[in-house]
Amino acid sequence: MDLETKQFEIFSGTGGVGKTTLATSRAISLAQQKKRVLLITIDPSKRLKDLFQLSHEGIAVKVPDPFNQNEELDLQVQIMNPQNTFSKMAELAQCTEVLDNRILKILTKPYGGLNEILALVELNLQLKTNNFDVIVLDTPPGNHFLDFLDSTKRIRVFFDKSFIEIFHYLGKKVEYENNSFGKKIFTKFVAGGVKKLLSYLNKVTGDKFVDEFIDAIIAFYKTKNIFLDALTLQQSIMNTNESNWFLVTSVEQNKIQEALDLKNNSKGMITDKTIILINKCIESDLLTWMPIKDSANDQLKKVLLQRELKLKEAFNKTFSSVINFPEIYNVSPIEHLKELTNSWNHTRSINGQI
Amino acid sequence: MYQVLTLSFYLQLCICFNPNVSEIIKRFYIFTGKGGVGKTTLSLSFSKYLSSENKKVQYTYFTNSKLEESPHIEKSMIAQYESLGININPLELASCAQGYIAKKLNSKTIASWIIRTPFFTSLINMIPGFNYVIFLGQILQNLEDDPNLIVVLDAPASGHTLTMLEATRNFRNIFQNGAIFDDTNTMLNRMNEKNFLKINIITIPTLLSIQEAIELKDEISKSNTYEIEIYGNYSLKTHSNSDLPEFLTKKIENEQFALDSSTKLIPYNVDFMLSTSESCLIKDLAPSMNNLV
Repeated sequence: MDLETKQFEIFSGTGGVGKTTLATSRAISLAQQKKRVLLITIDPSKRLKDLFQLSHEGIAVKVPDPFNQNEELDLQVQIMNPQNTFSKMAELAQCTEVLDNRILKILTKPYGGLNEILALVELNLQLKTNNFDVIVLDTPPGNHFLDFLDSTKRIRVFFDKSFIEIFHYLGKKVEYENNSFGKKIFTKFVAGGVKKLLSYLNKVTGDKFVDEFIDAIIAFYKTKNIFLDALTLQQSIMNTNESNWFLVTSVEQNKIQEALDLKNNSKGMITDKTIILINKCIESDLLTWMPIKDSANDQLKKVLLQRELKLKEAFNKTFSSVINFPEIYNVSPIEHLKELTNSWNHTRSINGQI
Repeated sequence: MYQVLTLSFYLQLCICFNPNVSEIIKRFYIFTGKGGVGKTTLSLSFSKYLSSENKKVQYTYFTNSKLEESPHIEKSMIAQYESLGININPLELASCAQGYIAKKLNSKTIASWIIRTPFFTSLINMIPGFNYVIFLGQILQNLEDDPNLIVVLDAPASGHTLTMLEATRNFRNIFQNGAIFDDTNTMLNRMNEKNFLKINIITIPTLLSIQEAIELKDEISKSNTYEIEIYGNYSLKTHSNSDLPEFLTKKIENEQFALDSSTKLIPYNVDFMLSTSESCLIKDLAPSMNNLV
């Protein structure tokens, strides 16, 4: 089976397995094949910033060939910044005043919790620029990644269900820009039972909060169309003709079950077509080692070999496409990246050691 | 008076310089780090170690992160850990939320009604991090209720832990007054108390992982004074010998290089064990867990 390049290349995994490095080397490898590539990373490590000397977050930056081969690469790298994406949305929706909302300011901070949803929006905005042949996305690790998969659904629920429920309770304040008029309507609409709920909630949340929260969701609601537009992306991402999904794992990470669980819990987003990348393989090295039988070293070899074989067996059983990447003993980050890029360049077919 | 002073000075010296004097055991330990670095195994071994020191320990984890998500509890796994003498306390979001509101409003009935209203579900789902504040609040409440209790939290992977820790602060800033404001404020004060909380960041001994662990530590330290320590796991160093093949020697050299480049930042490295099962591994690791106190 050949490894084809698709419009989206999505890298996911449990974190600490070399996901970002594999995604980065893939992006370089594609750019070397004269493709126009954008690499977006949601979970930036300082190493990536250093490697490309990136100082700005939230914008796509054209980077030189990191291996300095006097080669012109069409490669841009973008570090996700939720606040920046939200500003972009506010500008597009012509409602920059929402950026002043205190609660939204806090929630769009990095680690404020909106990272995944805003990443999807960013991906959509970048796709629309038509500047790229391939967008390589380095997703957040582990469950974060599942949240990301789930985010399209969450956006829909968020705007369709949660909002309707809240407006149902609080009145159609959103349609009345005039605040005092809005408040009047608000009071009118608040039915007895809801009043009770709010009075209970006020006891817990403080009196100003419910009002401010309503303002925040109204502000958020103004960017609704951009969020909903991002939903159209889901189809492209899910379509295996348009996207390659890579699930990265490493021999050193003792997480067979968790990685396999990802498939079961991903609600169909991880399929047999997902390509498994097993990083840091040392099997071929181990097999050439012949320690004295029953010595401590023999035991070490056995345990190391068993760890790797168990992992490979589990993945080969569950997925049809598995690519092994060898352990790289060179510690220099740039040399490391170079070797991995070469590995990608030599990936003619999947299901086997490169 | 002079004698007392000398004695206390001497004791302080002992604590500072004598490695045999054990560290003060904290009330609350958070184990975090990237996925697959061995958080669960180490936090279980750590809990086992503390139990063997006759401490009352609860190994705690979150079974779900959304109200509509059913709790993920594997009974066989819990039985396996409990047979090792580890006390397990899985936390579930709805019951934690309900418990909190019931306490605030002095009524279980009203609380169970509130958490089932669509408004409340929407509120929790729409405000990111709300779930974590509820969990953290529950843990701190458990610690308050039982002054002898020690909680070991097998926390979600790094980014999530940051969201969890940030959320408490974000919430205090969002609410500005009222019960949640007061409670998040109390939570933050409590967690910043000396010798109350320690965050153990687990990493594998590679340059990249160590660097990410350091970044996580710096990120958490930006707005808190929590005690945070980074520990290496799966260290092959102790298996080093002259009969090893070149690639393994190189691997161990790389490990050493990674550790050397971050000297003093990693006080202890947990050995790569040759144990044959997870239960054995937890038992084998437990005695060395005094290094993570």
